Amino acid sequence: MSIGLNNPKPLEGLRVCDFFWLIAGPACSRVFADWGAEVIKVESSNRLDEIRQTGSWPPDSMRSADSHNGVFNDCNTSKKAIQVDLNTEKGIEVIKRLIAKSDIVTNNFTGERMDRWGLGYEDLKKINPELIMLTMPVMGTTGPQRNFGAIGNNVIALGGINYAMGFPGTPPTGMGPLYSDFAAPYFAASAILAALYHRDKTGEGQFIDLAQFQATASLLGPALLDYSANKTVPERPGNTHPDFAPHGVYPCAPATHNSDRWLALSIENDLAWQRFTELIADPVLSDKSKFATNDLRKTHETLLNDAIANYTSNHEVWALAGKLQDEGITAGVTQDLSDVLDRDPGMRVQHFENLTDLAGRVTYTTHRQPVRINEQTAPMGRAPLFGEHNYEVYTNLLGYSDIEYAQLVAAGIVN
Amino acid sequence: MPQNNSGPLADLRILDLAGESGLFCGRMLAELGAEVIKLEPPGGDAFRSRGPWLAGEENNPEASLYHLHYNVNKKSVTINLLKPEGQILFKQMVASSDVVLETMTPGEMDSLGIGFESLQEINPELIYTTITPFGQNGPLSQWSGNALTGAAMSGLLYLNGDMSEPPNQPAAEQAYHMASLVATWSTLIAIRARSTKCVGSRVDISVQEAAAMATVQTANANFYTWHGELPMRGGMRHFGSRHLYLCRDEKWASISIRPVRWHDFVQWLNEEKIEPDLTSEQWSDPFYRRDHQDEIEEAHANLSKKFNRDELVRVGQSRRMLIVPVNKIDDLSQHTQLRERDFFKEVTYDNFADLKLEHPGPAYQFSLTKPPAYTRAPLIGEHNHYMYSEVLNIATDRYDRLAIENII
Repeated sequence: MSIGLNNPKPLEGLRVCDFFWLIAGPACSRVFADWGAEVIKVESSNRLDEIRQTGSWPPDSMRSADSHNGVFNDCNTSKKAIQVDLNTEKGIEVIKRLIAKSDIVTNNFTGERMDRWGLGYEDLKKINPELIMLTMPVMGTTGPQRNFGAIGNNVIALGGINYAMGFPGTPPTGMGPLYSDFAAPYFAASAILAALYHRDKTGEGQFIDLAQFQATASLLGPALLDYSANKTVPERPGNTHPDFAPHGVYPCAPATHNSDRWLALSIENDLAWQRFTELIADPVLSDKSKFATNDLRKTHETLLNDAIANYTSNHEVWALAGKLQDEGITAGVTQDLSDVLDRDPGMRVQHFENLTDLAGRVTYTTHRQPVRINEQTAPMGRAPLFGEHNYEVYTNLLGYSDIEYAQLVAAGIVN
Repeated sequence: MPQNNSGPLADLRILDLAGESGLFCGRMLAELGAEVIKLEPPGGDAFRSRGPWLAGEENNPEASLYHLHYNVNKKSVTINLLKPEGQILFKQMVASSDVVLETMTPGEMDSLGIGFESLQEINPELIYTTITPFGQNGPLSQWSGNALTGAAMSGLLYLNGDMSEPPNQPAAEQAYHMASLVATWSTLIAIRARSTKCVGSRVDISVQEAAAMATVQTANANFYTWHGELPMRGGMRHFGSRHLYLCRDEKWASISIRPVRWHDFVQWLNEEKIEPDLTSEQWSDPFYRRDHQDEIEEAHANLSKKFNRDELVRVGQSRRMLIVPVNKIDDLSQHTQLRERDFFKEVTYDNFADLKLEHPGPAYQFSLTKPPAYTRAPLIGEHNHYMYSEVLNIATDRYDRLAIENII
């Protein structure tokens, strides 16, 4: 009955002509590639995806290659890669051949780049009426600011997340991760899959215009609705919760690998609070006149947080979180990267997979797709080298003969 | 081609049992045109007790803005799943549905006799999607969790803020948003597998793993496996500079200068006579820049102080610099680009004297399958009659009895 046992590739048979680059786009097409679609990453023969060359690098002996960056390899698993010079007539002919055989075309260029190549949706639907095309510039393809440039950290700021974070009285705070680069692609994947559902029923393709700005602004919870209803501009909440206390992070005893240790703790009702105080038997926190009810704890929140911090700072964070969870209290470790990889009892095995490069020299610790379908995760292949699948795609899929391929190479359409 | 106004997922029916971690998934599916039926216990679900509130309506379960936001475009049906007759009715609903979405502790639905396996007997093509703190299986699957601990356990929380302060929780429960986003696309993958392979699926999302996806760059696992490095808070430095700067009008801008624009940026600084001077040759070397962030940040800060925010953004963008405003809620509400692109959707609340509220809308526009107009979030059990009488064909006398016995 299950696809998990007999077909771990539910998107097999779909082909994506993928112009995505940097992070947000490739993180979307990775979903399709890992779950079985043939995703063909298109790079210019003059200019490769910049993210191949920036970010985390393996030890220096590997530096010569263009594709050993950890981030690139985490966002482009299971894909194929080809080169095309799109600034030539021949290159456009090549890519149109590919698009005619594709189900989906994706890009995250700003402005009218695709249209200038003659690859806008109105052009492409003439050669492939069932095509689904998604474009996801930061601002969308319409409106007065459609040509604004921005990357992940800008988009978080634009979308209102920075301003809503941090402690009261401090400047707006950054989110460490370039969050919108990882949220926007999941909106994109959802939209494409929804359009596929419609196409499978009706044979109708369509164009999807996704604005990463809008994706991010839609992740603010009820804040925009609250502004519409009540004109509320909320204070930065720090780590507090609007409805209950305690809710926050509390310092724990230094560990040998890192002295910066924090317990995340959230106690939502008086019953859980009672279990908590009985467990830790701390004289200050046991004071019923100050802390017995949620209203009291909210009133004395600073005092409460100081007393909890005083208790937690003598305890090792993993042991304390486990002890609290045994009593049904919502607690967790504010994990650093070594916790995630070495100390969390499930993540290394469940969530990460080691992939090895073509030469067998570099091992990438790669996130799996964060979901099990019928208890199976997506089967991943390593990310492609620059132009790795040129010959295969040009000859087998696009039907160029060996002689024609050689001519394309000679003309500089392919390297 | 004629456009339709029912959205790309029209004709899918979702039974949405989700609590907070999955509310946004149902919201997305409803936005895409699916019929999303929020199943609530008689009296209403706990999310209706969460603020913020419509002013003057505090603690009214129909006026929780949290509820209105996450459940817009959904229907509401009340059902008591703890009672045998409620479980039978639920199974009848499952027979005509495509997806069940739930967020209970692993095993809880099974213990009520309405877990995946028993539902699959009724509807072999059912997609059964769950969101739990740590997934259905694994060593921590029985641990409790919420958005804060989800962010903490994923490695996301540790990266936010500055080393001089504790890790900052992400604004607006992002661990739950990530889980809901993953649930949305993975449910749709399972739907596609069903249409081509004719089988149902169990889709299992862990909040911890979903939130961990946001760390792919800043805390790329290979920093640690290759070099033993631990990315810390304020960790923007390895790739750029801290990017929020105060402008002359006390508003904030976010600035990222890509390496390919470095020389243009220096030229601009020079024209504006910004200190310190970064024109000498050594600054062309990206590794030198990486090791001398303080001077670069000082130049950013001095440039920003010279302009009002919107002017800095305008001039910067015209010079192809990545400079955008750090928007507050009121900035967003009035934002020209969002207004121009019809991001805000006006919804009339007939239950509050035809009050008109603007909901933030979708991330995307479809050229063909336009989404339906927004409908207000449902009242508790507002669609009971629709579900029980029209869909399940329950006779009036039984319907009345079910209400009296607090089953619906």
